[in-house]
Amino acid sequence: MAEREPVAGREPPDDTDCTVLHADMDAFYAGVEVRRRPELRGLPVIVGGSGSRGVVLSATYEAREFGVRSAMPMSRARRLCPQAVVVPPRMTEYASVSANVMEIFQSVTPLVEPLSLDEAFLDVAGARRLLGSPTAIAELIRARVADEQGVTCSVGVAPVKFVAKVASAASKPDGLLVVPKAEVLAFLHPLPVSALWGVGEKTEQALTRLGLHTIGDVAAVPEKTLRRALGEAHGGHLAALARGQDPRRVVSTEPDRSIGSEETFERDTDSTEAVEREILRLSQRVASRMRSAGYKGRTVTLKIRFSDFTTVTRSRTLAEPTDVSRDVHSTAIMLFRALGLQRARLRLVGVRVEGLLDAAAATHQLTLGERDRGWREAELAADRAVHRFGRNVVRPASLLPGTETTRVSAEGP
Amino acid sequence: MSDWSDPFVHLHVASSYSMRYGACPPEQLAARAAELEMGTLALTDRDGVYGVVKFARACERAGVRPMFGVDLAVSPEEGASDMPALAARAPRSRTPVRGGMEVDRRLPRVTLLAQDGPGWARLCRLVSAAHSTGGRGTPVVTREQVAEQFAGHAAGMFVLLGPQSEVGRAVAARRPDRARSLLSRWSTVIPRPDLLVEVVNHRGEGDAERAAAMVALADDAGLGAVLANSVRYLDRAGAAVVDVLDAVRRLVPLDGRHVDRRTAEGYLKSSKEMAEVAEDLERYVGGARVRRLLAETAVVAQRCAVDPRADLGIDEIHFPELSVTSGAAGTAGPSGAGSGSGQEADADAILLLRCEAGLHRRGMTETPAVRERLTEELSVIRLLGYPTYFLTVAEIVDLIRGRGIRCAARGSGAGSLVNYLLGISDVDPMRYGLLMERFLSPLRRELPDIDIDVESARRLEVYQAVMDRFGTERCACVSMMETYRARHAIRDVGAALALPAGEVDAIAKAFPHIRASQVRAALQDLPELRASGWAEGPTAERMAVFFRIVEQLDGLPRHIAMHPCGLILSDATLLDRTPVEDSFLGFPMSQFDKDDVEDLGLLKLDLLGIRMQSAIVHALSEVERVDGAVPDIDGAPRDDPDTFGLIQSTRTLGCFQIESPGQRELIGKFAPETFDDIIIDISLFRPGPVKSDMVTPFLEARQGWRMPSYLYSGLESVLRETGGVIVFHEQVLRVVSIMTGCSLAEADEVRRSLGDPEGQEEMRTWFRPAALAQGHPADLVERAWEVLKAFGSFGFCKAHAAAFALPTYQSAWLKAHHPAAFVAGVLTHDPGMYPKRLILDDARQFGIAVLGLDVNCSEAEYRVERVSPTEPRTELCTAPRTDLGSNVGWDPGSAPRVDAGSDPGSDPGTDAHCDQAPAALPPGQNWRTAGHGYGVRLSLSDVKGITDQEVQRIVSGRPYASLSDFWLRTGTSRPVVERLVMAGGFDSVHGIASGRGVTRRDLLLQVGDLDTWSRSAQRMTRGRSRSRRGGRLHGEPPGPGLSDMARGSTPAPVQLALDLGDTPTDVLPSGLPEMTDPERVRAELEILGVDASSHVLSFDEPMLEELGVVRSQSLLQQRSRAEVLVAGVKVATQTPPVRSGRRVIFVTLDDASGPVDATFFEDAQGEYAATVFHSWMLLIRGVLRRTGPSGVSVRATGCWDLTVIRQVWERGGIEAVYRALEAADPAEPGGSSEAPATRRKVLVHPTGFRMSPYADIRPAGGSTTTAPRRLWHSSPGSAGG
Repeated sequence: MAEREPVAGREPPDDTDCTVLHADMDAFYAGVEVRRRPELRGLPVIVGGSGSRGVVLSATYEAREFGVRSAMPMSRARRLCPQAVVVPPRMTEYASVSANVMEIFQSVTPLVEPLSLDEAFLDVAGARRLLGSPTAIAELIRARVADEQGVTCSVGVAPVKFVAKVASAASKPDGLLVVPKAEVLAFLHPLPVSALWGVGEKTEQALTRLGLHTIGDVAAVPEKTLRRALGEAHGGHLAALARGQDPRRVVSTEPDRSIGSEETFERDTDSTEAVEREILRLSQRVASRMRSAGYKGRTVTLKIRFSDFTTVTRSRTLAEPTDVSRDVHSTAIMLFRALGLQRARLRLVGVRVEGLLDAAAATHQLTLGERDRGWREAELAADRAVHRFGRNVVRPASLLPGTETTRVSAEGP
Repeated sequence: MSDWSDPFVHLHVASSYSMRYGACPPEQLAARAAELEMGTLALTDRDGVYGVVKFARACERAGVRPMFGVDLAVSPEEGASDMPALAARAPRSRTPVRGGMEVDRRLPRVTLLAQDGPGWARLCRLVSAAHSTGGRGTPVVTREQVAEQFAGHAAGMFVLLGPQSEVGRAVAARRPDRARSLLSRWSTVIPRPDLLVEVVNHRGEGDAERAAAMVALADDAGLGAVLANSVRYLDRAGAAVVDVLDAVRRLVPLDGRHVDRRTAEGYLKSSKEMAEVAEDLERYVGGARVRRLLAETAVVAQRCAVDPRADLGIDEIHFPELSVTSGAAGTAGPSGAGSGSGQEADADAILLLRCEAGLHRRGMTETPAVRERLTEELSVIRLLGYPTYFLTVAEIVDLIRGRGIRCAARGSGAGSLVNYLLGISDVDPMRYGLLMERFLSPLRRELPDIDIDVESARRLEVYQAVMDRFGTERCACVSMMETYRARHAIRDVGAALALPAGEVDAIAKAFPHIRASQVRAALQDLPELRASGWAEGPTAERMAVFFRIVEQLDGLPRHIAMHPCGLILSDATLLDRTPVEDSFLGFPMSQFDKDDVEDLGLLKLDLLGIRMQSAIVHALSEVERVDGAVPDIDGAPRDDPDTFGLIQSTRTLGCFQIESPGQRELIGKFAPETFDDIIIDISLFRPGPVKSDMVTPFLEARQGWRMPSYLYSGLESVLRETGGVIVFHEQVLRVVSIMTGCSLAEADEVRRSLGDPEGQEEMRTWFRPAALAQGHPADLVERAWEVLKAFGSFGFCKAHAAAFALPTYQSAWLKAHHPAAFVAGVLTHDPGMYPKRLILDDARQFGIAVLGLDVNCSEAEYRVERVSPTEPRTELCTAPRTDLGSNVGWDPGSAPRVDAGSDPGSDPGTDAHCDQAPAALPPGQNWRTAGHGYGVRLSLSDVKGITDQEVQRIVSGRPYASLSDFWLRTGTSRPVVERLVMAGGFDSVHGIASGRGVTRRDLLLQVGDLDTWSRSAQRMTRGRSRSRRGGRLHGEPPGPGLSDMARGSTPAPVQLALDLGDTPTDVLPSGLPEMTDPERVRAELEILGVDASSHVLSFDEPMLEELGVVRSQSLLQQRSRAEVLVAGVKVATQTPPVRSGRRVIFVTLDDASGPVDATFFEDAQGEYAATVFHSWMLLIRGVLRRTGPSGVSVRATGCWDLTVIRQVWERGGIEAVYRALEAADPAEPGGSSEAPATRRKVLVHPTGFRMSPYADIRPAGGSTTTAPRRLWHSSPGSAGG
């Protein structure tokens, strides 16, 4: 966490060509929780699965002081910071705050590229005439988010996306950093290579082995050498980034259309029966959500996370789109059984359907001898019953109480 | 015939020797049976008879008649797969996407009980067969194999088919038809009276019905039925333990699905309780049938009458047949099939002949003393009936020497003249005053111990030779049972409870290597564990359960392994008395451990691999290779001044037995001058003498500060050699004998009794009157007794020390005369206690150049090279480094500087320097320069991840003109080639040091290019040759058989058109920076495990300077009680026993200028113990203490991970470091870490010495002999994290 660049007090930075903003919420989930419970302000707060099994989803800066990080197992986080207040996640709440924040962004420019619930790129080139300099726009966004949503965000202002993203990280928390075009290289070069976009642990190791520790080191090496070391595409890409060049434009895209759901088991399990039961439950939930949203999809993806956090995904594309639980389930089960797991302990299982289309547009080819009213109709009837009488009225026999496993839930969009 | 009040006999009982299955040691089972007034008890362990000897002994003590049997897996019948509930779970066809195949096939099982001696022999052979059929770790027999034992005669075994048999499982699956047909298959091959149905009722749901069905099945088939309880644990409380064992055995989490039991009834029930079990069945089969069931059980028990002595062979002795032993010895052939006494007489005659021959061979003059001693020894040997034993050992020693393998006897055996004459031992017992009685006594009818040390690198070759010579029907390895201690128990229970793997690892490593039963006590006692927070906080409850289960696993056998040094030899009936199974290395291994083997009277030979012997051999061969002649190390005079000069200088790193910090301190004070001094030195440096402070009076007498006290003149001859202090067992024997007039053999019995308080008391009541009766005055008797008592069991067997002293002397001799070769030997075979990097550092102090890794020079082993005397300076040695000798008795001013130029007198190029010191040096100082002009080349084998085959290919394909040449011809894997590059293996090939502009990084890129090229070349030809990657040479063109031919010694250098660089000049500078010095050192540590180019600490110099850290060499100049900061690489951590009974942590750091010793007393352990144990580089704050005229130590008050401090310094400068040091101090000094004195646990030795239960236990954390792999990323105190 770097010190915030003092914006006032000296010559305002030249933001002439800095039309890309990266806005990133500060400790987003934890911020939302503190907003709801002001007595938590100034305390170490951790949002995450409450059991001993969960992982940290978000932590306030007070908690980070103790070494708590996102994605850390909760048991470790609790040991590092026993006094932290642990709050279970409320994803719907975060989603709604996020939607409001994105709306603020949208009101500034239509060119908003959300990266996740809590961060987005904005291209403000066209908004300057109306709203003033990029710096002014960034301040405006920060003020509105803080006033209207009660949470803070940090904004990086730079000529290109990558630099803006690095700048927002450098200004955290609750900061603003403008990197004028002329100062891009001076800003980037002292930073460690891991700050480069696309440099994960593995690439970092490769670069370190070559004696390249900072972005400046990378910039000083002939591009040809980088291409040799990291491959044509990756090497060329990093060379450009290290020179402050990033050809990617801000494009307003909608997130990939898919519906999925996943569950972390209360304790790692090697029980095939338990996993298959969970797959059934997830398949039902996913298909039901598809039906209520009016989507059908063709690709079913199964995700398995093992006890050591390694993850495998397997997917299969169906002959035609479906929103029938039974189809999703049978495909997911088939994918699971194909893994042939015997003693492996599973931490999490997830089911997702991708390639969504509007149900109305989806074609359905009748096969010979097919019953007119099939599973889909039965499930739609069940949906209606659930809608009327609540969640527990209709469900498969294998999910009757007694077979229940306690779960920590983290649901996707 | 039998009524309900008769004691019940348990026929099916698994002890803890049913590995990861049974929960109760056989001793407890026997004791409980006696308590329950059961006169008979069976032991039927799974897959073996591992616990039989201990069980038989325990039964003897408890007054219970033992029965012996085994529970074996049987391969399922054909067609069993149609009944999944029956046999093994149907094996799944698919390999899991991610490891973790199921490990327990849950095969059906049968129980066998031996009825008599021949039956026991068959049972043993059947167990061996199960292990050889099923393969290592998965023993299984077939029904046919069982049937074979019954072919044509009574087998002397019962076969019991119980609930776990296929028959029983068919009954459980409600398939009576199948049960009947399976049973009839058994009854066609097993005679009716020997085949029994085993009825078990654990009183779970449906158990009684199933039991009744089994009875009915037996009745149908006309077979007998017995009642058993399938015992796995002693009482109900043990049920939880077997659940964990089930999970552990199957490597699955603890869960109902994986646990075998459904009730807690499988314990050793009383007769009354078993009667209740039987009563359950009355409803189904009627009272009469139940009574008959119990009666049949009793009859079966009566018919099992294996006698532990006559049939198992306990306390009998079984030597190899004389015809086998002396067959190859070329002596007068005795009648091979002669009767026992005839054989003995023959053996005796042969032994005498061989001893006579030995007298000549050893060149001994036949004085009356020698003759008398020989006659006496031979008569004792004859009396005990051991001539064959000595002949067998002599035969084996001849066998070993015949293969040119160095070997030496050690232990008390060196006290025997017969051993010396037979060539078993090389120490003349007459000359060194060694006694036979310590080794062999007519008063003890136990087999003497002769331990043979051989070169470690050729130990297995020796095993093989002995097996070949005596045959596997007479010879097997001894096994040893590894039992659960804290760390393994934590890992297994953690896995069973599905704790996160990383967490389990951290917990396991945080504990010292204590017993599992001590973990909760340790959590209370040890400050670093109290600080871990496992006992409190949100997880406390879960952890309490966890640790409770961990403790319950304590001492349970978990794994059988080959004993590192034991071989048993017997006659051709060996396999009738011990089942064997394959060891990991494929040697047949007895199921009995070394104690069992002794009880069974099997000749056990300890063949111990000694790394120092291999190091010596390697050193000798290097001398021969480089200098042209092998020095005669065995013939070298034992009064060589250079050797003693070296020893007295305490620069003995790497030398056998005298390299530890404590030993170097001792030899510094002692200054040994003769071979006898070395014997004394080795004997003094033992826990006993050190604890009872025998060292000080000895040294005082030795230095002439005090007149030696001999108690009385008659003892002077005995005690003169050690200045009046009793050091040796032999002296105890003589003192007792002189004082009381008893024989030496009787005196040895006295010595043995001194070890425990009761024995002491007993001996005291005998000693005083006996000594007074000899006319000694009362006060002398009293004082003599006090001395003997104080000596307790401490002293040391002089024969053993003398045997040890030989390699000690030889290693010091080599270091004095051929230091480079010696270092090469030590580094190659790693015999000592120090990390290799410290040995390399020591080599530099001797003026030996350390030559970097070089693909054209390095080999599989460390090699000696001649270098020009100035080379050490330019080659690698960049940082000035000074002595790392002992901190005691070493004067920094006299340390030899690595400066060959100032030493024109020495010419290391000739052999003469071994024998004669140049005029420039005083006698005995030649060792200081013997290493000049030599270098030691780092070995390829140390490169991380390199395989033996890769090393072999690299060495045979040399020289290499370039990296690409190397790539094409060696087929070395890419990661290994990259490591070779990073460690400098190609520096000379590509002139990197000479600054031709190419860097190691450029070569690294080149490796990537070559790999890409090879892959595409392979892709192009894939259609024709689909060979495995890595199995073929890179870029090798496909072709039938070529890849086989090309590998190994004759790589086919087929050069394809290569458009990338294939000559050194084609490696183009890429603009990447060359590795900095710290990067080189880091690469060396990560790849080779040594910091070869400069000391790892040298890069912290600026920070250490700024912090005012005091270096080893300036510590002496600090005033006493000054507060100092010291820093360095941890080279040793010890928690030795100290008199106060507290745990004290001693840490030795190497700071590039010498060693720094720091001591953490209990008040400093709370905050810092975890850091001490788990960090590799340390910054220690403490108060200086003087320990002697030239010794200092630091009493630590704080300790930090140096890598963390470095990060703090880099980020925030010196102020930040000061803040960090201050922040670490607890608000109240020692406040949280103080353990109430009353709670401290103390072990009290029989002699009154108190010690901490955590003393002398391998401490927490990893080993100090290897550098951590990711030094720069290691996080501090990760144990708690």
